[in-house]
Amino acid sequence: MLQQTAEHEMITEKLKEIVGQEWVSDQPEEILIYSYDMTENPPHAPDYVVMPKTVEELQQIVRLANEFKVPIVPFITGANVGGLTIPLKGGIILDLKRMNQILRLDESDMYVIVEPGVTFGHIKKFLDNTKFRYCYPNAPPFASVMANALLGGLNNLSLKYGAMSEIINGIEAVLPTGELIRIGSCACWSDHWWGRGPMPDLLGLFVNWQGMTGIVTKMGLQVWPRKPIQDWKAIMSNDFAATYRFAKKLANCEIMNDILLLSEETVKMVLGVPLGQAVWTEGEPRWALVLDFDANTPKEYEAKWEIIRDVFKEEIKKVDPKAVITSVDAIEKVYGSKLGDFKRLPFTIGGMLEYGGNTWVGTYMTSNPEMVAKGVEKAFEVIEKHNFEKCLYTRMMKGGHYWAFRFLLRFSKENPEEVERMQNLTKELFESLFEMGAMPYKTPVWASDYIIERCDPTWVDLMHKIKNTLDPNGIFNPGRWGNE
Amino acid sequence: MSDALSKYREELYSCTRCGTCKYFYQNYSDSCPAGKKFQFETFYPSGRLHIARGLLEGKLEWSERIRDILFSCPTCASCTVNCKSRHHNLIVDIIEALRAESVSQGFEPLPNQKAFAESIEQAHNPYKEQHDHRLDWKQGIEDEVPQKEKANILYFVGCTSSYRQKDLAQATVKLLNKLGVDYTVSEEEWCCGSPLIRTGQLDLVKDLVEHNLELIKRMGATTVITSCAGCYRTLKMDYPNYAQKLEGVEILHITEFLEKKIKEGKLKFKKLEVKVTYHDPCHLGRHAGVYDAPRAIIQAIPGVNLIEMARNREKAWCCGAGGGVKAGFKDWAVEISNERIEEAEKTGCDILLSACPFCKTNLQDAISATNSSIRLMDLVNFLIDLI
Amino acid sequence: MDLFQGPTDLFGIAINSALNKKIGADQKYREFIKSLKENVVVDLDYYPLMIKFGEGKFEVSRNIENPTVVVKINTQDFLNILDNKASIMGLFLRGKMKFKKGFLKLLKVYKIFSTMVK
Repeated sequence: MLQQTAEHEMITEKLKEIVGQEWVSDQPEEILIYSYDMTENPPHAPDYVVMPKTVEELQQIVRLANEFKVPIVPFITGANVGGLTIPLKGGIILDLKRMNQILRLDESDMYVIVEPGVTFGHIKKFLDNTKFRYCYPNAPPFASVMANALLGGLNNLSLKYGAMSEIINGIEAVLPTGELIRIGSCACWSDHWWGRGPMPDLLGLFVNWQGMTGIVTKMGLQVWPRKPIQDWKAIMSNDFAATYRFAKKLANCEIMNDILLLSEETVKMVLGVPLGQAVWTEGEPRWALVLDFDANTPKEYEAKWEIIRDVFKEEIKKVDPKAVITSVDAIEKVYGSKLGDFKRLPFTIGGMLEYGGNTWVGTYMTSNPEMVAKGVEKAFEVIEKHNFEKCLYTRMMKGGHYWAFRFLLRFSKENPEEVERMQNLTKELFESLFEMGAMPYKTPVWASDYIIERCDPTWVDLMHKIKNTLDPNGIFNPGRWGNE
Repeated sequence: MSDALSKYREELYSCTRCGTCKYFYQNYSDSCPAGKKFQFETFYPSGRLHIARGLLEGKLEWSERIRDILFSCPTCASCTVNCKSRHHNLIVDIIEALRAESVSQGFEPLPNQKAFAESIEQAHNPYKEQHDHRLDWKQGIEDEVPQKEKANILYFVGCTSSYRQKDLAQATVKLLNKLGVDYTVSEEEWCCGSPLIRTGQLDLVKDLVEHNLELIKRMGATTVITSCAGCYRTLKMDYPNYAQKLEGVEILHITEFLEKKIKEGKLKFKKLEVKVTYHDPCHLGRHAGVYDAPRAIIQAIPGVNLIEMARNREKAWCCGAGGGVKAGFKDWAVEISNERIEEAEKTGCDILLSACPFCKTNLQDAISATNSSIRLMDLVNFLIDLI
Repeated sequence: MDLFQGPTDLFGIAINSALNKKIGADQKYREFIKSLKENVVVDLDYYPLMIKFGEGKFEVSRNIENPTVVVKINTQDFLNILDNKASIMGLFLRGKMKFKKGFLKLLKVYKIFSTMVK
């Protein structure tokens, strides 16, 4: 971190010349607020917070940063739950909220082009006036669409299409050396963002790179027709193996939008049960499923619903007679809107976000039932050891090709002992799951350091080579994935 | 850190900065005027709570920048309805407590806001007007305005109606006269204290509260009616924090009172074919939960077509005048209001109605600034020609 | 602060929420609930829950003490009522909702739950 030197003053002035003085701060208030997020990751202070509006401003900032070797960390809403916008080496936080336009919807090829500051709420509001829909995470509406795509986040169409990174059609980005690049069909024709190929696909140079290889300024994302009939069902069950088999079989039927499998602790957390009290007790249902599907016609709807009921009877009810299936509408009638909000993504899980601290160990792994069951058992053991709540949140991904396996971990940031205990938990939980074949997404730096030591050294070597080539001064989000 | 702020410690630590306070929930429109304007995380409700945490932890020191961040909030309370966390209902209270702490730390409000206190101390109103001119609004209708020693109802006029929007005070008394209720006004009315409470200048507030409560008691009033949303919020919700609540006294906004009279069959209106929309004042709506009464009145007028703005009721976009913003950030206050005028115009209405003289002032300024042809009226003024 | 109140078991939360919501919205129902003095046990196939009515209020818990009414119903049927796929009366007549105790309170129990889910 730079001291309040003459150089710092000079850089501050130059930044103000680029974006306007009201969009630059090096004041203690902004420095503090941007130095940490909701997670257990330790804070690191930036030196400047800057809010550019245009690509040209961004390019000028990048050139300035290269000249003075000042780190750059992109930030939009800071809701990545991985500590990824905490500037490990200080420098400039680029808050991209002002770049918030939805530039175009192409109805024929079904994509939107968005700027970084477009949030899920923003895109929902926009698309609700069209015949299209996007895909949404179980996350607050003020979270960045682009960031979630670049970080391979999951959503309520992940069963069909996989992680959000898989629906990117193309991007425009400012490279760490200041050039502007387009990737995908838009590299040839500025009006055509219909896909990434067939040309050598460079998108992988940006996806999951956590802002180390450039700042994406535009992104083409797929959207889909909104079907006239949409419905959600809920299941409460008691046998994990049966519940998981149901999820896998239903996924393989290729009729669903989303299959969420939760522990009862997660349901209680969503309902707002106080911290520490979202526990399962003997006699209560153990697992919950939320099923999301849609249809073009009532006939199609009835057919899908019949399949769901049949698979439920075959896989769950036979071995678990107490298991129940109902509509989320019925659940909402008794429990209120907190559970009903599963129908209205994006939404805020108040119960998860009201103790100051929220984190997770979120992974993708094999969908092999034995491995999954082992993973759940191991994870519960580790979480119980550290005395936190076993809030399991999982999703079948891309037709059952893989599985999203995540633990939502809320904690009080007021209590340093609890923060330390959470740091110990996330570390042990991540390591346990990694050993079982689970790969974290939105990987915090301590996890990426662990992975680098254990994965293919050729991969690590190539990753560093690419990073060094694109970012010779090492200024883009330094300190991550072993890149100094 | 003062006791007044330390008591919110648990709330300060319950905010994770999830961003839900930044949008109207499931409407996805911007809800925070300061966040929308200044855009740094610090200017959003969550940012302010985290600044308070920084102060509590000693990571931040009081400064002019913190003062500016705190005083740039119109205290519209949209964050309180959008936030889904357990501290949601206290966000505005915390911001006001922070402002009071800022003042006590020597970081005073902005000059125009500071002027409230000077004026109120000298003349019991924030407008630098003379106290003995408080009832000048009666001019031309003196015989119609009762001034009794005792009455069932005290019409608490409020400073804005007394000194600036006198037509509102006049329209209110005409309505009350039409209803034949036993009421009075009083020249001994002092400022309710809202300008001071919203800007952290609390030294004089207890005196104002005690004086006004003593006035109500002396009048023997069982009901206090006000046509100002700010006075209403202050009398009803802030006064109990400063003094023992007067037993048996009901505080009503004029719209609540009129709604009652309509239900009792004592108030009927002439027909008028017109399209109107209604702006919910923050202090009446989100702060005090009064959304239905004004609408019930409008809908009781034959021929009137009420068309809601896209953001209405608890999702109403602030007019921009509250929380001292009109005084401290004159141009920005109008900028906030411009957005509301645009929204009103989109309804295709003939008349924009509201129920707060302070909202009316700022909305009118925005109408002038944007050369809008929309007509703006306080609901009471609108009604007076229809009785 | 807006703090979570009431039981923390899954079905206790359901009944507590549903009752509170209906009481908040329906004055007549509020008066009716205030008038009750019974200890009503809802014996679900998962576990039994008691709703203790008296002194103008109610409390839902897993603590079963001095029940005056015991209604046995399985969870799927209970959810079907909420989903408008079954009626309380229909389930009762088909023997899927049984009174193990307090049969004479049938109408009161009917009113508690049928109004709650409207």
